[in-house]
Amino acid sequence: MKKWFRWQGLIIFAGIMALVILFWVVFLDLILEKTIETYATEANGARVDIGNLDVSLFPAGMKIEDIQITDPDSPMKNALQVGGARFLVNTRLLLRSKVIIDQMSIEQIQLNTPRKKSGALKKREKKSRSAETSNRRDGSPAHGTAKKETFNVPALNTPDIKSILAKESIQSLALAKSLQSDLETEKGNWEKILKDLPDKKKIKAYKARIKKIKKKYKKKKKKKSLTALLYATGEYSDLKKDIEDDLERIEAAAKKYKKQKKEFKKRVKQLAEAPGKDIRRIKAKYSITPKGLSNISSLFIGPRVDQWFQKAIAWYQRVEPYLKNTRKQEKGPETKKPLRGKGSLVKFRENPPMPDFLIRRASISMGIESGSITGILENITTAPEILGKPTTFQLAGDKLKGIKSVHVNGEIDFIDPAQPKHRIDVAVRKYSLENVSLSDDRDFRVALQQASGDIDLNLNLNRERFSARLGSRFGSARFKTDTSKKPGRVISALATTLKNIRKFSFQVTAGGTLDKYSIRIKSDLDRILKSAVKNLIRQETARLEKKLSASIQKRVDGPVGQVMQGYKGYEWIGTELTRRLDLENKLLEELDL
Amino acid sequence: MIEFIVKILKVLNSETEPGQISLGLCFSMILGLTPLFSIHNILVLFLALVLRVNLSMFLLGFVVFSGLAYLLDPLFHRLGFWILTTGFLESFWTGMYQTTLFRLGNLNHTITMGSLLFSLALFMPFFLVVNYLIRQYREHILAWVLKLKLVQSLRASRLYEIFQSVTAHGRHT
Repeated sequence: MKKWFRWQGLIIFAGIMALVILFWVVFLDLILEKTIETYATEANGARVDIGNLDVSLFPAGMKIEDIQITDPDSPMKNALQVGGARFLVNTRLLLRSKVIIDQMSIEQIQLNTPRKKSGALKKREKKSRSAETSNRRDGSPAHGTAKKETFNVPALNTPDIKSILAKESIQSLALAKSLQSDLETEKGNWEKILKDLPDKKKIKAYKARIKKIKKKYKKKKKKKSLTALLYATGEYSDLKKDIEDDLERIEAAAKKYKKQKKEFKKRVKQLAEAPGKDIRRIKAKYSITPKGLSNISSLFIGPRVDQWFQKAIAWYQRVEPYLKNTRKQEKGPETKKPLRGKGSLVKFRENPPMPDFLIRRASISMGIESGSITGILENITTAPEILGKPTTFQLAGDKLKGIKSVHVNGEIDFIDPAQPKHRIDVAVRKYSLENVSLSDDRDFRVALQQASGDIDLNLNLNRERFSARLGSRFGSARFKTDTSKKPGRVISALATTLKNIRKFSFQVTAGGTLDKYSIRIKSDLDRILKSAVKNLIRQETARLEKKLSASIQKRVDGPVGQVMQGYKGYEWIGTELTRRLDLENKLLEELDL
Repeated sequence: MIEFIVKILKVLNSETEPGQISLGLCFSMILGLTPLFSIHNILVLFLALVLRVNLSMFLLGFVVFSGLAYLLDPLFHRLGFWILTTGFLESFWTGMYQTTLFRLGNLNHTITMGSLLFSLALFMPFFLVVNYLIRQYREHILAWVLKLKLVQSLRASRLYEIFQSVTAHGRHT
């Protein structure tokens, strides 16, 4: 036994073990600190710094101070800064490579704090710069960078009448010109036709012929009718035929004239109505409509709301991969590639199943500008499908500066990674707003100087689709407006109305997918502003109409008057035709006697 | 290089039993082929220190086998993967997986399991083979080596005197 056993070896072994333990005790804090910083930096895409880390072995736990997590999109700011975190780990499960924390406290969480030096990783700096550039090119935002919206005031000032008429064509003038030309042409044609038709001269000739025939047969004393005498002689029949031919020609001309006159009459009627149509058309184009004010609230609030949504979506997309298990469920043992090194880890079914990382309960305190918010988070894990419970959170803040109370609660449910279901409810009471700019337009600057109100938000996400509803009511409101040196009457009315508003509300509904969503904003501001300027708009529209009417009438009176004169000349043709027709008919009657 | 040869020669020419040299090499095989910071290596180290095995060969063997391990890792991975995922052992491994020692020993890692099984399987055969080779060397080759001019000149050198004095000192303790 003595031959094979070496007592000194026992001492050497104990010495080596003691050295190893001493090494771990002395350097474990530093090793863990560097390891956490390295892995967290890699996961975040920007530096994660830890101020101080203390590990305790009995019981197993950790205290971490001053954690700074850089915002990858703003390397000089921390997205999150934590004053300190403390927790104990279940030792038995830790030996099985499971980090199960029953209770954790996280203190002094702050958002968007400045950093002393940039937290960008060298590779990431180039990537984020090129990403920003490419986003600017196509205009689509990413990771919280939002498109800056400009507020376009609806066209509230009516332009000058002269400039309107210089731009717009007056159709009644064109109609008058065309009709005048046609009337002149047809008048010319009819004058030629009338020359060919039997006139006074010819009627006189016919009467002379009748007289001649009567004289010829006067000597005969038999009182036979002239007609018989003439008829007997044949001259009568010739004369009658001539008269009837002329009558036919005149009747044909009269028929043609009647048809043409109908057309011209129609066109004259159109011409008479044309100035009115011009006035209505131009008025409709240039007058102020309340339609432009129907959604003014979305112009005030829309860009801001859109920015909030984009930032929230960007953060969700950043955090999501860590809250759900993206590995496919396999039958039998599961292989997992370790982060470094060769080989694979084969994971077998556990009894009971347990996620590799779980924080059962974390109490947090968070500092915001107004004060501090405390809360509880439960069931934070990277494998919610194993735990079978969603992550829940409840935050509350009371008596904050500028806010009476804020309550946030919700749950993040990745139990089925293919069908995530999340919910957030936020209730803010007596939230004070101060000096909030609503419009930077140089003709119409609007700012909300102060207001106090309540906001309720409910947000649901089901698979890739989300729906959100935000309702708010504000009172003790004061708006401040700043207009250009010569604002129009309508802008002045809007400014006056806004100054008198003491309470307002708005509702936002949003929905869609994370990549493509729509936002609808409704507010009683729309109704108030619309009704305030409604009468003014009506007056302004009537004034425009009056001026427009006078200007257009002035321009078209001359040409239209000429056309009417021309038409009267044309009507004379009809009169003449009728007269000649009558004369011919009388001749025929004389023949019958 | 000279020191290395001297050590080998010292070990081979020492009065240390062949079994002690072989056992040292076998323990170094486990330590060298398996991932260094595995729990089972604490036991191996303990045994190597507490049992009268040849420590020089243990350390030298560790260096050699560590180098070999890089080349054999793909084989160990395949072996470990096969043994851990084979159907008829699944219930066994599932049972073992519930134990802390199995998890602490990282025995569900393919290379750890493959290399451990490999070195344990080779332990006894390797011990017997090395044992036999040492005996054969001492019986048949040692005399021929001592006659070599290089060895004679080494033996005549100052270095060898120091070596002898160390060896002599070691023999007495």
